[in-house]
Amino acid sequence: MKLKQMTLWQLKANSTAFLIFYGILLALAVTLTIVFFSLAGSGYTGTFNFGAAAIGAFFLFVVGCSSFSENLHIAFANGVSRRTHFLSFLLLSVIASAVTAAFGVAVDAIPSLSPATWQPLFTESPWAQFLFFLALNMALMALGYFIAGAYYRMNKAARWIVSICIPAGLIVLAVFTVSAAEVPGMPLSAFAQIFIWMASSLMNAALFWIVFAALFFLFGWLVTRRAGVRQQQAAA
Amino acid sequence: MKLDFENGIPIYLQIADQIEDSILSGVFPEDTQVPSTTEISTLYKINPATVLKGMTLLVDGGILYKRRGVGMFVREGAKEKVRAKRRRAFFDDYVCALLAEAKKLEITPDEIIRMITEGAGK
Amino acid sequence: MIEAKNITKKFRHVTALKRLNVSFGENRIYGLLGRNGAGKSTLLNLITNRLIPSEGFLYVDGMPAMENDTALGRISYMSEDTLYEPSVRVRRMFEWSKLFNPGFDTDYANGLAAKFGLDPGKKFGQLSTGYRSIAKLVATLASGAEYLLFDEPVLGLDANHRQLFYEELLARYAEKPCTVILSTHLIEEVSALIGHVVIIKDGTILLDRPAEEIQDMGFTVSGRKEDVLAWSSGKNILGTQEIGGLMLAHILGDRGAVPENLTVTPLDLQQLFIHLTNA
Repeated sequence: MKLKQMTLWQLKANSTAFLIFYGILLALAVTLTIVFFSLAGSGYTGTFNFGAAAIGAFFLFVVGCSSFSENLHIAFANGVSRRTHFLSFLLLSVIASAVTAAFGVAVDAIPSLSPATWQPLFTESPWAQFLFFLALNMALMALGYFIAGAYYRMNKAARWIVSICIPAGLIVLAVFTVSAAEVPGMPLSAFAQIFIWMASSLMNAALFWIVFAALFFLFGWLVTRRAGVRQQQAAA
Repeated sequence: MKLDFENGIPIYLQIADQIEDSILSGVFPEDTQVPSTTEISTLYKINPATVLKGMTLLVDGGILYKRRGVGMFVREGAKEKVRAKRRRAFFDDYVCALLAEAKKLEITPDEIIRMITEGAGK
Repeated sequence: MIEAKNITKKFRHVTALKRLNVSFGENRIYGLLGRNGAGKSTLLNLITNRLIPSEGFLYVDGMPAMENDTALGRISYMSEDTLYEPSVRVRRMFEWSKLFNPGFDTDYANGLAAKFGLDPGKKFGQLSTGYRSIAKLVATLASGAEYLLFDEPVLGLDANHRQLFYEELLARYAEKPCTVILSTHLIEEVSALIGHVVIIKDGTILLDRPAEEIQDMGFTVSGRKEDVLAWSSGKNILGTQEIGGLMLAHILGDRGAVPENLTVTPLDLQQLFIHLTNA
């Protein structure tokens, strides 16, 4: 099995992007912290949150999206099966999610080093934050990968339909869910209850996102297992 | 060495003929090594198996012999063998063809003999 | 040995391969020939797991080839499409090839690239069609694999580079035994090179023969139209051409005895191919 090689490739291929991302995040966090605290000294009150972990989650969504096409083609070019390619992506997801979550949580804690007034975003422990972001990261990586894969497999007509109907459908769903949250007995109120449960604690949310991740990794595999090579040329 | 892919003569035979020519003309002296299968195949862009077939033909005919781990060599007495073989074939390859062409042009055998004498005299 | 058993491949609008059976044995140079759209690239893509067959099975050295890293590791495939992003440098492609396949000979690859005048520092997107082909074929020649598959390897190459490719291919073939499958439209160029001919037509195998048998398969008779028609009636005529009172008939089969008033010439591989696939 070429799992080790493929995973190594995944890590190498993404390493530059990750290092740049972490670097920028760190630089921004340090700079903004200094700015905030110099302002705080002059009587300026308010909350400060950087949200590095949240930005990290979004970054991993993008990484997930970019992990389908090129990686699959590298697998094809080097005699690596789709199964090995997908497993290596799973491994990458776990590693990247864990590292990014840890990094994000640590960076968000930088402002707390100063004794000045500061309101953290989360009241729960760093460990709980880490688990939450680990789950969220994996969910978003899986989602990004699945979306990229689904688009790869679809033909032009399907892509148009999906691009319009899915976001529209989600917006409608969101609106109905929010209004249903206030009124019990409405059709989507059970659905809304899940979100209320989820928002009540980080661990609940983490659990939700782990299930979400597992589901979308499964979908991601389904979209990978019979993916064929797209007869496209590199730019002439 | 020149190969003709159009004339219908199998390539391996052409290769064997060409090697014989070279032996006859002294390019490949007796007991020296002839180019390897790989060299010939690479030079003329021919499948190595085809080259090997031609050389094997010569080995079977006692023209070449193989030295293990080294290559193919010209047998002692190969030059004479080739000459004798070609002499025997001369009648079929050249004389009969000459007569057939002459018949097409309605040239009599006497005229041919006169032409040969004239040509030999030059 | 690479074996394809009862392979069928359907795309949305077309069936590219229909119950195709073929095998590629050890240490031979195969010519895989066929018209545009006949199914050559599809077959090669199926063998190398880049497409999944609709029906049928593929084996490499007795192992099922589908989704099998071990079996696939024995094959190096130079395809017409470039699977590397335009931003990837040739040097990087060599490194990755080495990563996935320890048998890859980087020194040999760099030496070969130099012979072709290819700069490994260039990105794929910066290369011309010809140099893209060169980069890919160098990678396959240097792969050290037991099966080397080439799909239109000399696409865009000038005459000098084409000759160089054939020389290097033969040198590689001589140095370490391997099976080569050359899929190409340039039949005349490769006809002396290949040991075995496989012709695909309309998704099935039309012909699968050793190259030396090709010469005896067909011939052309020419002469006066009446004479040619008279002699060739009842024979398997692939096609005819007429110039004035002269007629050429291309016939498949044994020559037998040809009368004096007709001239016989052999049908070479390209002509045989054209006539067989014209129908």
